[in-house]
Amino acid sequence: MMDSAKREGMDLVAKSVSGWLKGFIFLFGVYLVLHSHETPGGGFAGGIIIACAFILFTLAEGQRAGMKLLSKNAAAKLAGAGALIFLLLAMVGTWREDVFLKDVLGADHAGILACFGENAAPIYDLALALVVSMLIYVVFSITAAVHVTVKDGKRRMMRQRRA
Amino acid sequence: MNNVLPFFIAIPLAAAFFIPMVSVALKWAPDLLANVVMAVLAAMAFLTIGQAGIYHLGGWGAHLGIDLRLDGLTTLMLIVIDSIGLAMAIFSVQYMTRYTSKLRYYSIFLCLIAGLNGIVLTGDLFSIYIFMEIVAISSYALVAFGCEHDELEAAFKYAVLGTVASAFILIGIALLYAMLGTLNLADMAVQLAAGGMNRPLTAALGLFLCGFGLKAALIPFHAWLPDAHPSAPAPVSALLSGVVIKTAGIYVLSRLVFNVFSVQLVPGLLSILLLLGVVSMIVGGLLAIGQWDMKRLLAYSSISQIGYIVMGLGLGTPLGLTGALFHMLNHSVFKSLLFLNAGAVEYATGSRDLRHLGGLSRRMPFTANMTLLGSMAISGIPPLNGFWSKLIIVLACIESGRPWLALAAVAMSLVTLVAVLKMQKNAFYDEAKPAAARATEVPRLMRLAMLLLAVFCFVLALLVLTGFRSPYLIAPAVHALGAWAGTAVGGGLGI
Amino acid sequence: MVYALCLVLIAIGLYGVVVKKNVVKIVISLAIVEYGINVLLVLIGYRSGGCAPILKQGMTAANLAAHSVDPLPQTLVLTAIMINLGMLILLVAICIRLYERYGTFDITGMRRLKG
Repeated sequence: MMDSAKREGMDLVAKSVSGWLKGFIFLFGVYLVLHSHETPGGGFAGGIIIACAFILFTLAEGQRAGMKLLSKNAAAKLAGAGALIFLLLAMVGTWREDVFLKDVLGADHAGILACFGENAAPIYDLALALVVSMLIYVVFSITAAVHVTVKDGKRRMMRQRRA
Repeated sequence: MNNVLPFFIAIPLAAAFFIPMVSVALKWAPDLLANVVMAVLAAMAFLTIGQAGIYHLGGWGAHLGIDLRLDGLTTLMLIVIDSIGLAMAIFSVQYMTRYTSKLRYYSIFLCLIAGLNGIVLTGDLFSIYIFMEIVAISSYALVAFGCEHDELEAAFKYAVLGTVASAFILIGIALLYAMLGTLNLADMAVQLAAGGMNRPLTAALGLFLCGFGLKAALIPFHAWLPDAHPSAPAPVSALLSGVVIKTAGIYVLSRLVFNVFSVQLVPGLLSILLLLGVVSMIVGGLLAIGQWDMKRLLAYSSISQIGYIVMGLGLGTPLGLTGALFHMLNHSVFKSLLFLNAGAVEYATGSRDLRHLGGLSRRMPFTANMTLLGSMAISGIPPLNGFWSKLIIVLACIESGRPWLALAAVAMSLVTLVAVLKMQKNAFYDEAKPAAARATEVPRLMRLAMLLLAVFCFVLALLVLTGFRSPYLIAPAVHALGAWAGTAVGGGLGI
Repeated sequence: MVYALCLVLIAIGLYGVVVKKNVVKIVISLAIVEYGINVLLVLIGYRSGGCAPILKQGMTAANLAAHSVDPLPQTLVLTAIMINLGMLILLVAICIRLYERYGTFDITGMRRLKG
């Protein structure tokens, strides 16, 4: 029926091109996240592009290889962790200065925290990008995990039953 | 007290994100975590009684940032949301074992509670939109939780209609921002009091009436409710019918009508509310009689009782507002109780159809007594809480010179009695049909949740003893709706 | 004039929601309504001849406030886009489950709830 073991994923051209591109797409997404204070959209757009890199890999190589790279449970846990980092940062404001959501990592903190610039916005954006990218990836892997197989000489997309 | 306000939203959100990360091996951990979180929230909600204040998020000043406001109406809604949420969480521990993933259910449930708390706490119009969308998406997901035919169809219908309503609300917010230049509710009240209405503002008000009317399930915007509320799992139905339509619909509508667009500004507004309320009351009550699905009957009677509340709001007098808010409080409690009873019947017998049930009072005596209590409360039989709030509304109608409305209210009370008596007779007091023969009483925690709500029914009836025209919790809420303009900065709230 | 075009877009989306029978087309029409509202919101913040609200080298804050377009509606639109993304994801998930249950995307076949 489905000859999935040998011909999983797309054909060779798609696989090689996506193999070169996915690194660049991921880097572009990270660039957008790191410069989030001056590009519109900030962590949201960067997170979605990072998710697109993973989605491209899953589409090109097939579902099994995609799940081995980043499984659904791991992605869901990373999304939860990102959201909790966001909340933790908001709490830091509460502890230090008694106001929720206030950013206190400013220039007066020495050491590793000073590399983040004037305010805590980059960390918020990192957490946001983590959440958004993992979320989109989880949604994709639940709803659209496809096997592209060749059957009777024609290309057919078969949906995989939720196992 | 002010510093605790963000935690009403932050604690359930943190728990909602933390629960999926808990390992599946500890089976009791999500139940315990969700119930502990809800108990903490309920305790915090009761602690806000008598307090008032403004909290600026992020430390930004008064006109720059988003603030959280606490006044009498907010306190009332917080008590409603968190205490009924606690009862639902207790009920869900054993009810949701019939569904697939309790972990994800608790996660979405806590997101819903966080969104509801956010709607009532925030003082910024766009934050209200954001939290309302959180509530909406969580409730669509919860309605579709069982993934059966009916649930998916109901969830799709609810989702499409709710999205259109949210779209209308967003256009209204865009128009308000374009005209007034600010999104803070208090600033908007000041500017509207100074400036007056013009065409875009009237259009925005019309859009808000349509959008929030759909969220509150007023006729003619009610089409999603009789499908969505029966199909959801029982604690979700109770939360939707008892809390969500009041918070996302009536609370925001009353804030906008009474606080932002104050009543002197738009003369015909109260008449429109009155008309919508009366039509909902009559049509909802009459449609409830013909239903054979237990929860669908209760859903239509929800529409009728929301009609009572909106009619009370539309009267505009302090007594009318008192009756409306008291009835809102009472209706959340006894409607949730009735939905939990329907859920218990479904858990025990597997069916909600009144034609296939019967004789359950011998096999499930506790549920039968709780349903009797809830039915007496909803039809306004003394000395339960429903009687007092309906009495206040009837007296307010007579006092404001509309005796025929009072007559309609009393008549609809009798119609509600007919509808719930039909439910009682067919489910509990006839001879047993085959489906009901195997029923046994529901597990202990579900009974505890129902008992909690029943005790609330009695306790709330005692509120009238603190003063018929200004009961204990309701008077500050009416006061908060009554006086707002001119309090943009500082801690003062009302006169 | 441009605002009227936004309202036309919203009206097209609403027409699609009301008239179309395919579930996926209804979801797409809802997305069109959302796009129309986002464009309306962004246009409200427009100031003719204004620059983007980003503080570059050599600009002061007062200078920026006098010349830039209003950044608040842009923030609102960003948040609204993300919210509508979540809504669309949920709607599409419900559509997929509907297909699994009913075998069709046609909404006239899904009328089991009556009364």
